Amino acid sequence: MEISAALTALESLASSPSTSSSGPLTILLDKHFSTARQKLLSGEDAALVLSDLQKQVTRAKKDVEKGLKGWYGALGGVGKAVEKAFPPNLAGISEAYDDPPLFVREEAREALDRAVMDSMARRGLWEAVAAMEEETGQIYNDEKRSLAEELGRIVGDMENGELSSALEWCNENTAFLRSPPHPSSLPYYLHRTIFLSLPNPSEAMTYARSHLLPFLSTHPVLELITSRLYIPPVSASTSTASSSSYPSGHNPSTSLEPPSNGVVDVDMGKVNPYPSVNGENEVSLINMFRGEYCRRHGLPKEDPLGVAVDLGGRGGALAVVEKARRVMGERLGNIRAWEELPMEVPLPASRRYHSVFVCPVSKEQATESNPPKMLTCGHVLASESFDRLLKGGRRSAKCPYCPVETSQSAAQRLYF
Amino acid sequence: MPPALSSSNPGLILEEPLIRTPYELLRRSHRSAQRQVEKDFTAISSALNALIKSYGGKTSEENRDTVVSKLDQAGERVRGLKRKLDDLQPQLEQPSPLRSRLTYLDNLSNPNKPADPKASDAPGDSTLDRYIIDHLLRSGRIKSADTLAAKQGLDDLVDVRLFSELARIESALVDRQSVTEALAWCGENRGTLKKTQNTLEFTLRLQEFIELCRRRDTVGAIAYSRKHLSTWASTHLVEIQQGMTLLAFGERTGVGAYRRMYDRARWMSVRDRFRKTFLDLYALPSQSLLALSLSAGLSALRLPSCVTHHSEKAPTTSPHIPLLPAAPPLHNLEDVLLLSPHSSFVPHLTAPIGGDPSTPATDLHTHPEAQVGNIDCPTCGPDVKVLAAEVPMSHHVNSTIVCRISGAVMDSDNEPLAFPNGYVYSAKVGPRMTA
Repeated sequence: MEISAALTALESLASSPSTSSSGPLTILLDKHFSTARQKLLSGEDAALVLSDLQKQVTRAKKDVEKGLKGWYGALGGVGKAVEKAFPPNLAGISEAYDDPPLFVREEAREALDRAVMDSMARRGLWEAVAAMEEETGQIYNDEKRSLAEELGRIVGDMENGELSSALEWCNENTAFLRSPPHPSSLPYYLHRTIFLSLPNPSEAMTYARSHLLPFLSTHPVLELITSRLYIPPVSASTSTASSSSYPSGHNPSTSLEPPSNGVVDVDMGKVNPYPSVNGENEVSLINMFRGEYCRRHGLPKEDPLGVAVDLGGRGGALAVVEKARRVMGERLGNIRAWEELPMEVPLPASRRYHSVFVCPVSKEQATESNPPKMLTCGHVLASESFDRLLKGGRRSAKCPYCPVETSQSAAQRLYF
Repeated sequence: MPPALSSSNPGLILEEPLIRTPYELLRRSHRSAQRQVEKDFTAISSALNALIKSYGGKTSEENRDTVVSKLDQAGERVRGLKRKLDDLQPQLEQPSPLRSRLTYLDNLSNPNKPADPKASDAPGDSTLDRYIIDHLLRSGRIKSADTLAAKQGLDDLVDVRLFSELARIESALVDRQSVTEALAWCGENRGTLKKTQNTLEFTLRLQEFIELCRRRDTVGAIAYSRKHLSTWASTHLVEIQQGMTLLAFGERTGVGAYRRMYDRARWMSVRDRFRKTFLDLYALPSQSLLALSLSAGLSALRLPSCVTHHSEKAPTTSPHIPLLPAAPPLHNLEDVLLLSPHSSFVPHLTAPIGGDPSTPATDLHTHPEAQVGNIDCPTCGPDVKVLAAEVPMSHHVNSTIVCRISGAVMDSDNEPLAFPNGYVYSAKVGPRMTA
């Protein structure tokens, strides 16, 4: 890394008296000032002593300036490396958004402040929220505050290996968690984690009987229970449920656990026939809880501000916008007046929140007035494209992708 | 080969000030070191010269002590200079902010590097917090920014001190209408400002002159203009001439051009001018990193469906209707029914296909999720949507069908299934719904 090397060169200048700018001053003080002082005290001619010292001061100044010059040179090295790695582009990018600047309307400013407070509250940064309340004069929504506090408390408990508050929450919301279309497995996984952490087999069996059997119809309960014969319980002394029995992916310590995929269990000397039990779920229990909690209270699963900022910066959306601006230049006009981005920003599946239907014929996005229509064969076109196929008052049209004919009345409007 | 640590990496485009700003601060340190050396050496030399002059000839017992103590004073000055230089010069022992930011950025762009396990456990990479702090600092919420930085341990990665300086000078300009602080800053950076041909200093001087005229201190104003404005005559003659006319016109003049110069709002434009110069000098963009990244991120997400959804929601009294894709097209009755939201038929019309009719309490609509198009979508959120309204829509060349129920993107492993009424769900939720 070039900047780093150049910076090291600059910083190491200070470590030697011969190259640092203050080195000559040490010599001036320790040697010349103290000799001058002694000479004066011993009664030598002050005029002589002092003009001698004056000469030394002039020389020291030259040396200091030499040090400054070396410093300046090394600084220039850093500057070159910085210029190469981070040329000044951002000023231009930012200026493109200046007319008018982003989010300066009163309404937008307040909304942004609220979104910032939301983001901090989600992460339990209450000191910062309080400071913002004081400086903006906005009061953070009480309901949101109590929800975020409850979530923070339960997640905190879970991080400490204490699952009872999470289970309690599940009991209070049984109806919600069971109902279609999203019956949740959260209670099962909570009980499962506790079951796997109980050191005493008979205690574990009792626990399974009372807590796991209700899940018999929907989850592999029997498999789980029998697997206790093969998987030694997590040693309760060192790590409680918090660290080891979470499905891997959450906690770095899971990587230290013995791999469970069908390997020979050293203690038992048998092949574990239940390889799936330990590592079957890649989703962390805490994330799972967080997801259910947010769903229950109508909160977004992830911090909206965080998602958008991540996508804009690290996710490369700004770079795409910038590239479009560079390639197409002036023709696009003021970026603040754009109706639509000129280029597609690739989105990961996790960032797809709504269906997008682009007609394969016209390449236009479907709208309320131009909705998607499914033909008899199952191929889907935008309504306008289909109408164009029905030229000359024909009652049916051939699908552009297969030989099947679809009559006008059989085309089905779709709702994604 | 790790990704290049440069802004050619598309993910690091916004990290330019993270590196450039501390570099500019290093340059600033060097400049103040130079100034300090000049100043202190001049003082030391002249002190010694004075000493030689007054005591050089005669060295009696009593004035020897004076000479020695004067000498010690000069020595103290040298010591002070040495201390200042040691503070200013970048050292290996006390890493500069540039160093910690390089390390930080290096870790950020090589997440696979075996790092401190604790660090990898940290939620996120603090980019969001850094951008939030930048936003808070720019909008003058120094305390909030400071609290957040301290709490998250980001002091080295954000420029709280720099922005405090900006806030201090700006408040002097706007609240106290004083240009002293801003002029001091200009003096400190005169070299750089000259190189970029920045005329902020003239703006400030002219404003101060206007204030003298406002007070009708014409004598003072003339003296001021001779001293401070005349040097700009070669480049700003017209403005100076216009300014000099204020000597004749008081604040209550009816002449538009001069009344405008007396306008208090002129301080605001002086403030804006100062802010722009200040940000430019320290390689900071004109807008906050939060706003820039947010605008790009939101426009990548924003779809027509994010918008229509909410414009529909507002006028409706019943929470049921607009939740799912508009009502199913049964005989095109929905338009009629939507006009009478009190109709008891409405919930049935929008009831989920395949849902259990015997348990209406647990149907789709009791789910909070059903209350918005997609609660997880950032651009649908009540606050963020206000922001999203300012940015362009996303652009798509291919279809992506997202299941309304599971939220999963449909593909060949999870195919879309169309119900007879035109609703499309993913194949994987089918069994769940019919169960």
